[in-house]
Amino acid sequence: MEYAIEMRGVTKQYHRFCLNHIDFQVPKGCVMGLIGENGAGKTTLIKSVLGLIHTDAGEIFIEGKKLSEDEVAVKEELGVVFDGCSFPEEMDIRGIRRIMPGLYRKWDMEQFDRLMERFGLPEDQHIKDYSRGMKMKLSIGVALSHHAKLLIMDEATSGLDPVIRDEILDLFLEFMQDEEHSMLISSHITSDLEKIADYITFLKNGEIIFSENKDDLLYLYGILKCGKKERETLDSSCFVAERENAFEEEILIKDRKEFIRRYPDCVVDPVSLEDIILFYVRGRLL
Amino acid sequence: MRSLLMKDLYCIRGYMKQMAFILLFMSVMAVVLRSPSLVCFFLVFACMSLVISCMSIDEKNKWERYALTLPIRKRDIVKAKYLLLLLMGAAAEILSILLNLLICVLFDSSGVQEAVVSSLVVFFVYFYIFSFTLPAVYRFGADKARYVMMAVVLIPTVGFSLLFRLFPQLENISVTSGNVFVLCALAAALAAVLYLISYHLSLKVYEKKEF
Repeated sequence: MEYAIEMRGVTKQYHRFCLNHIDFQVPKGCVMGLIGENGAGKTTLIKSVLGLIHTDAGEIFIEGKKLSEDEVAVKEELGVVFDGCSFPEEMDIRGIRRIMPGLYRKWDMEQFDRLMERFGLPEDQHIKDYSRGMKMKLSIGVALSHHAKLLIMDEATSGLDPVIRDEILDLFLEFMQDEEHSMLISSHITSDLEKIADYITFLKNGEIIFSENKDDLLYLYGILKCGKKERETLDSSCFVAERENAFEEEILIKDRKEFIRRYPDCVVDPVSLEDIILFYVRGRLL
Repeated sequence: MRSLLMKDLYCIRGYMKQMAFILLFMSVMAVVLRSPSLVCFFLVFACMSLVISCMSIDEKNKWERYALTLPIRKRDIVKAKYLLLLLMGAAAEILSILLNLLICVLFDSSGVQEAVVSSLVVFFVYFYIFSFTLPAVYRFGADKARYVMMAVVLIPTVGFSLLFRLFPQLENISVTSGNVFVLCALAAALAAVLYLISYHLSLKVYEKKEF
């Protein structure tokens, strides 16, 4: 399998946090969603991919090349959006038009103009007067206007209203129509990732808990709801994590279909990504 | 490089308008008071303030984090800032010399050489200050680097004051028109060397920096 991003044994040690020996791949032509609580290491992982921090160990490949091999050529294929807009606040769209062609060899002015029109961003308004949604649209528009093959988004949809998020997700899906295109997107909003991601990687305390196909993940896991006595009669080998409430126990189980086949009388609900994260983060691992 | 410079100019566009307004007022004052050094010093102050503000705005917008995802090298980013300070300094110097000449032509044509030399000296001082300050900006950030800038100005000022107090005979040394060009050439060479050392130092700091 070809990878858009490949990390091998990447380690980054901070005073109180460590991105610990990360082996991580984003298959070409796929959307990889990166999830995890605040401080789990999502941004550190993205920064190490982009060469914004110096890693202590390991190797990183983007489209099969090391960033250090040909930094400019590798970055030409990247579109990156962070959680804010980095352009000067005194700038407007006309200013972006002036500076960007000099930065990207393959800058496509027509595509940029099309996107700005589609987003309804005013030409002559300074960025400082833009709403957060407008700023994010501008950043995404820039990232999509130079024929990038790989989009990297770090919390790009956070803080946006559902309408704008939906609009942006549609644009990402259009971008993914080309089989050569790939995407790495980190987000707290798991519903967004459920919509567009092919794979999900879950980070916790700087370690990858799982990195799996999203559909398999949602198909594989389930939430068993039962009482304490009933639980004792069940095979616990497929139990992953549990949480208790006043009335019953909820247990995250793996291999849902097999479990239902063995225990047809048990109540097993399908899971969302959010459920899985909450079980891993707030529940008790079994 | 051109795009990075244009981006910098957008950063400080608002400040430049304010500075232009103050410059106009100062120029009138300089003509009325027949004191071109007023404008000369203001221009140096304005340039320093604009370059530092530009870097401060970059920090606020996390521009460098974004710029490093663009197909440019770290050295291009540093080079653009050194070019910005050079261009700002050159523009300020040209303006300063023109104003000096104007005042000399209008009121006292005999002081042309002295006026030009004094504005050149201020220009060299500008390079001297920035050569020490810019690596500090990259190392500690724009806000903390302002203290370094103050130290770079204050330490030589206090040092020279002490020197003149300890050795009063130094005040008797006069600069003649014969050796003024030699001194200017030496000052220019020193400014150029400091500028180049500073650029390489900033580059080293920047290569190690994390964003």
